[in-house]
Amino acid sequence: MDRDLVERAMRGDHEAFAVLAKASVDRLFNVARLILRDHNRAEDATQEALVAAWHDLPALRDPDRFEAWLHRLLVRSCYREARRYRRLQEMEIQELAVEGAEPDRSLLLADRDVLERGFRHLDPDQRAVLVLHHYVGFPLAEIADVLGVPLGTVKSRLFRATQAMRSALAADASSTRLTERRIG
Amino acid sequence: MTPRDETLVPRDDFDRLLAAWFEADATTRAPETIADAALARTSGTRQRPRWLPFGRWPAMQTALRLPSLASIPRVAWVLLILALLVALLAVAVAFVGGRKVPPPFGPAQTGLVAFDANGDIYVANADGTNRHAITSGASVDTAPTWSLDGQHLAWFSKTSADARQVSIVIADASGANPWVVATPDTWTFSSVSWSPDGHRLAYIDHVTVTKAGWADSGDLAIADLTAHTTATLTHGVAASDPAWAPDGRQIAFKASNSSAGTSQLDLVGADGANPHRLSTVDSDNAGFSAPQWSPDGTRLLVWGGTGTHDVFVLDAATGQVTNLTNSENADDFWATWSNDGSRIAYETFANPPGPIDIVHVIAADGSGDHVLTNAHVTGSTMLWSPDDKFLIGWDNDGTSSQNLVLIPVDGTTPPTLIPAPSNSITGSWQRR
Repeated sequence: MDRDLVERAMRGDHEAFAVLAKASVDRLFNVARLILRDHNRAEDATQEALVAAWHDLPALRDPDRFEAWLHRLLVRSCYREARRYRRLQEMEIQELAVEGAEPDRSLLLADRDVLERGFRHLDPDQRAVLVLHHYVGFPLAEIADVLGVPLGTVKSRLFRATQAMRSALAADASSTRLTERRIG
Repeated sequence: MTPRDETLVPRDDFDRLLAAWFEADATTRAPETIADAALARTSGTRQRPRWLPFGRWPAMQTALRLPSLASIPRVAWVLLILALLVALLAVAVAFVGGRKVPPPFGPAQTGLVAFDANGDIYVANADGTNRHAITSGASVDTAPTWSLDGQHLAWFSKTSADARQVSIVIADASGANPWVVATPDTWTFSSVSWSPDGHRLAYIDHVTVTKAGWADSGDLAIADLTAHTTATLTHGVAASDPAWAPDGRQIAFKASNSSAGTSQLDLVGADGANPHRLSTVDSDNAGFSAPQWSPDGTRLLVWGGTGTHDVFVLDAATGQVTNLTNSENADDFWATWSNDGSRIAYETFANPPGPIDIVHVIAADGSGDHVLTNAHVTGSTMLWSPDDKFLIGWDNDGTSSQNLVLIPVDGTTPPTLIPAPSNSITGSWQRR
């Protein structure tokens, strides 16, 4: 990220902010989609994060931390979206459409299916840690910085999320075996 | 086992599977309307004003007029001179008497607790009173660590334009006389370890860069605070979390194998000699703790594991490992050794896991496990107060600021909260 652009945006240069926003929006949107598992809510969360970024930019203490700071705003925005739609979310079962993307052939359809269902069991905190770590590629200490929580909390959330995913997958495997046995 | 079963059983490449799934699902271009709408909403709107620390308030003209010296009555001058004499006498007595410093290990009197919040270093009394910042300004200051004699504080300070260029700063207990002892290629969530004599600091330098431009391990280095020199002790072992041995001769550290996702415990002489692997406690990288020496320097405490996590004690000479908790169905985390070496505190998740963890205290041999029912911490490192009467932890529900929590180890009184002005990340107790 261009430090000069960030500093100009921090001083109120809206054109510089527009360049930053357009350069970041794809990544932010995909992170939001992965956390929220919903296209429309991801759009809302991304837009709110960008608006918040403009308003709060002068408070950014370190221009080099812009990207991490932007992800922090985005995750908070995702939390708000998740809370707003939690009840509806619990009732809905949606499949995330992959638009304009060639699916990774190395991923089995069965894997994708159970991963999707396992991921939906996680709360937004756990989803955020998994996405920031495994998709964005932040190390744990960086995630602690982004989320504003102690490193230990990130470790425990990551551990809990991984365990929860594995539990969900194991439960899925058990129910599949049971169904197959009944059918068989 | 059917092929479908194989995809569902927990396996070693679970992380890679997850990353591949994210990558496959996240290749969508964002609709142009998002950025356009955000820019339309912000165009012509004012940004929130930047908060200015006290030292950077804009200059202003003051209407206050100081009285002329001639107008001060003679009695006031006499009183002022007397007060100065008394103060000088007090200072002289303090110096002549010599200030007693605690030994570097073992129990000591509990002094101030130092912690970071909102990019500054704060200190407070053990009961939470008199909380105040000892740093301010635009630099981001994190991870304060008291020297073992309680006379100095070390912390990380980031002011450089280089995202990974931070300074390690040392100052007096009041925050006065700060000076930069090293500018490692590391980052602000790293940690330092003071040598027992307080003359050297161990830290991590030359961090490995990941695809996101960050990393959490590198080479173990030391700064000599007297000679004003630095030296790198290890190369290529992905070191982190240094811990200086009580005898000052060795440094323990976590060595990570990022491609395998595992961690081990290594030792190296304080002069860089004899680097060797002490233990291969089998653990995933994220779940392996920083090592902690027993006060007598004979053992090391870690927690880790690949499935559920346990608390381990390792013989520092032989590497022999003892699993203290050995619980098949519970995860044991955040183990910490009391200053007298007789007890260990650790946390387990509640069942089902909730925002508050369960705090246990056991004897150093793993016996006598009991739960501190009043404790109120969330997935965070705990530290014993130097007098071993309190544990300090962090209380965080994931959505609000986390505060420091002082937990009486005898469990007779409720924990005390030290509100942090913003999210607090790390802290350290002063020994007196």
